[in-house]
Amino acid sequence: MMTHTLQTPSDGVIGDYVRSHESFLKELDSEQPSWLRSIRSSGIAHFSEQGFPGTDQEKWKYTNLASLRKTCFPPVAGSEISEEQRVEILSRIPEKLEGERLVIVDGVHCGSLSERSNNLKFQFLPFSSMVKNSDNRVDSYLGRHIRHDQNPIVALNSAFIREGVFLEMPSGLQIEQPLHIFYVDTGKKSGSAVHLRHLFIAGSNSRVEIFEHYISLNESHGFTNVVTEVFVGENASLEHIKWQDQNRTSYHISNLAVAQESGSRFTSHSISTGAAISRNDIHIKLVGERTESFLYGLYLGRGNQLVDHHTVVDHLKPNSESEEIYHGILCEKSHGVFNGRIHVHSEAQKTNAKQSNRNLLLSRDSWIDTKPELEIYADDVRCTHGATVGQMDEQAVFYLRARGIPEPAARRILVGAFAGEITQRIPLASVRQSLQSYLLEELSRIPLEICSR
Amino acid sequence: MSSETLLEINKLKAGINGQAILKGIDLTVNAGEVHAIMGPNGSGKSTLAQVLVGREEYEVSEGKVTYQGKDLLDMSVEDRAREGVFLAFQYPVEIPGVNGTYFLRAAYNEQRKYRGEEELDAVDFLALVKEKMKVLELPPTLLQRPVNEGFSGGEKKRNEIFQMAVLEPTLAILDETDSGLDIDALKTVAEGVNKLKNSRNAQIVITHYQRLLNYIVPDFVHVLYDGKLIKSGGRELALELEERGYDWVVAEASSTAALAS
Ligand SMILES: Nc1ncnc2c1ncn2[C@@H]1O[C@H](COP(=O)(O)OP(=O)(O)OP(=O)(O)O)[C@@H](O)[C@H]1O
Ligand SMILES: [Mg+2]
Repeated sequence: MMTHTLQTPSDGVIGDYVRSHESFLKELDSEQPSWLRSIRSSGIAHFSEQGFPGTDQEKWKYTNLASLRKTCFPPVAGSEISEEQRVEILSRIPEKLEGERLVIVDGVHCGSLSERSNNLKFQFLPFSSMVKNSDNRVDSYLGRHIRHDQNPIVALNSAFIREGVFLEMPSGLQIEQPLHIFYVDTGKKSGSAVHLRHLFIAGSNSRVEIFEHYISLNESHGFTNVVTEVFVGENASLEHIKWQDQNRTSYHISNLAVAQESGSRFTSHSISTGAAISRNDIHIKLVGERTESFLYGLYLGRGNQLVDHHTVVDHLKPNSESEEIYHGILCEKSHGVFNGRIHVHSEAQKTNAKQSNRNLLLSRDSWIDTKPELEIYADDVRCTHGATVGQMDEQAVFYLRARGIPEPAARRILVGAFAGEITQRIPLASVRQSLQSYLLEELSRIPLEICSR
Repeated sequence: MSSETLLEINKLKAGINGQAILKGIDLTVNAGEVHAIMGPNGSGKSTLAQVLVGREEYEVSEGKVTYQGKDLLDMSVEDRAREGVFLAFQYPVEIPGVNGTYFLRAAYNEQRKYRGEEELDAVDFLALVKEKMKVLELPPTLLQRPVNEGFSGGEKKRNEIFQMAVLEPTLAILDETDSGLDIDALKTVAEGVNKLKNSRNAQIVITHYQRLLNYIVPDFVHVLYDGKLIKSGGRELALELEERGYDWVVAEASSTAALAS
C-alpha cells in the first residue's frame, strides 16, 4: 500500500481531524505494525482530501451531514464502567441469547463483559488483541472490497482504525449458536467518535449467524462509524442481523460490503431504530454463480430522526437470486430515505432479483424519499421492484374496532404486524422477541395519527 | 308473549357526502327474533348495517336508535361491539401480518374486560376455539394465517360466522353471509348461526336469496327499497319475492304513498 505524506494541516474541521489523528497516532505508538500504519495514514489523507460528502452528491442528496461537518469528533479510547453501568449493559442483552459474545465499550473491547470459550474451532477476536499479538491475518483482507479512496467516511474509519471484530470460519464448520457483537456507547465523552472495523470471513461450506447490536446508555452526542467487510466462501452461509438502537442525539454511519462466492448465501437483517441521523450502506457483490442474497430491513423513525438506507446488489455472474424487502415506519417529524440499486451486469444471465420497499407514514410531518434503481445489461433476467408509501389501512382499523378492540390498540396491532413482516424473518428467537417487545413499547408511546393528505 | 325489545330504530336517516341513502327507517327487534332484510342492489341494506355498527363515514341526519335502552348512535364503535353488537361484514377486510387466533383472542378479551370478567389465557382460549371450530367445520389452518389474507370468498364468510360463534353477540347482523357460499357451506353456516340463537339475542339477516331463509328461518321479512322499509311480512314474503321480484312491492308501496298524500 502506498503511504501518503500529509501537507500542512488544513483549517477548519478537516484540520481538526488531521491534528486529532496525529495525537491518536502518538498514543498508539506501540500498537502500530507497518501495514496498520499505512492504512491509517492513507485513510487520513483521503479523508482530508475529500471531507464529508455534501448534499450536492446524488448519494447524499437527502441526508445532510452539516452537523458532522461543523465540529471534529475526536476518537474515544475506552472507558471504565461502573457497577451500575455493568448491570444496565447486561440487562440490554436479549434474554436467552447464549453463545460467544464480544462487547465493545466506547470503542474498546471489554473483556470482563464478553463471553468467550476456550478452544473454539473458529476465530472470533477483537481487532485490538490481534494487533497486540502481531496476528497479521487482517492485513490480507482489509480494504479488499471496500475502498476508502472513493468513500471519505470509510477513509476516516481507516484513519482511526483500532477496534472491531475479526471472524474467521474455517471451511466446512457450521455452528448453531449465534455470535453476538455488542457495542455500547456509555456517553462518557460527548462529542466523540468511534470507528469500528469488522471483518467476517466464512470459509467454503461454513455456516454462521452474527448478531450486531448497538446501544447507548444515555443521551450523549456521539458519532459511530462502522465499516464491515464480509467474505462468503463457496457454498457458505452467513446471516447478519444488525440492530442499531443508539440514542437519538447521535450519528451512526455504517458501510457493509459483502462478496459472495459461488453457491453461497448471505442474509442481512438491518434494523434501525436509533440515532438522530443514521445511514446504512450495504453493497453486495455476487462474484460467484448460483448465489442467494436476502436483504431485509426495518426502520422506525420518530421525533426528528433521519433514517437512510442505500443498498446495492451487483449481479456479476449468472444464475443468482436476490430478494430485498424493506419496511419503514415513520412517525412524528421523522424522515426516511431508501435507495435500492440492482445492477445486473451483462454476464449475469438468468438473474432473479426482487426488491420492495413499503412505508407507513404515521403523521402529517413524516416523510420518505424512496427510489429504486435498476441497471440491467443482461437480457435473460427477471427483476421486479416496487415501492409504496401509505397511511394505515383505515378499513382494517375499523374491522378491529368493530370486534371490540380500542382504536389505539387496533392501530398498534396493525403497525406491529407491518413490522412483524420483517422481524419474523430473524432466525434468532431471543433477538426477535426482544425486538418485538421493544417495538410494541415504542409504538404505545407514539401518537399514531390518522392523516389524510 | 311480549319479550324484551333489543333494538329500536326510529325514523333513521343517513347518507354520505350530502347524498341521502337511508330515508327514514323504522324497525323494532325483540330478543329471540330473527329478522330478514331483502331488497335490490343499492337500496341501502349494507349502509343500515354499517350505521348500526358505527361506521363514521356515514352521517346520521335524523332519527334515533335505541339498543338495550341505550342510545346506540352515541356509542363508540368499540363500545357497540363490547355491548354485544356484531356485524358479519359483506366484504371482510384482509389484515396482513395479524394472526387470526391472536386477533380473535384480543377481541374476545377486550369484551371480557369490558364486562369486568377475567381475560382468557392462550391455552384456555385455544380450547374454546377448537370447540367452536368443530361446529363450523372450519379448517384449523385458517386461524393460523393472517386474518382473511388470501382466504377464498367462502372462507372469509365462514370466518365471520366463526368470530360470531366465539364472541356470542346479543345482536348479530349478517350482511349477505350466504353469497359466495356453496350449498354445503351454506348449511354448516346456517346450522352454526341457529345454534347461537336463544331467547336473549336476536339476528338481522341481510340476503338476496330465500334459499338461506330455508335454513335460518326468519320471524319477519322486510323489504328495503330506496332507503325505506316498504313492506314487512312473515317468512312467506321471502318466497313471494323470489317468485315475483320487487316490482309489485314497489308498485304497491307507491300507490299507498299516493293515496296517503
Ligand atoms: N361509502 C359510500 N360512498 C358513496 N356512496 C355510497 C357509499 N356507501 C353506500 N353508497 C351508496 O349508497 C347506496 C346504498 O348502498 P348499500 O351498499 O347500502 O346497498 P346494498 O343494499 O347493500 O346493496 P347490495 O345489495 O348491492 O349489497 C348505493 O347507491 C351506494 O352506491
Ligand atoms: Mg350490501
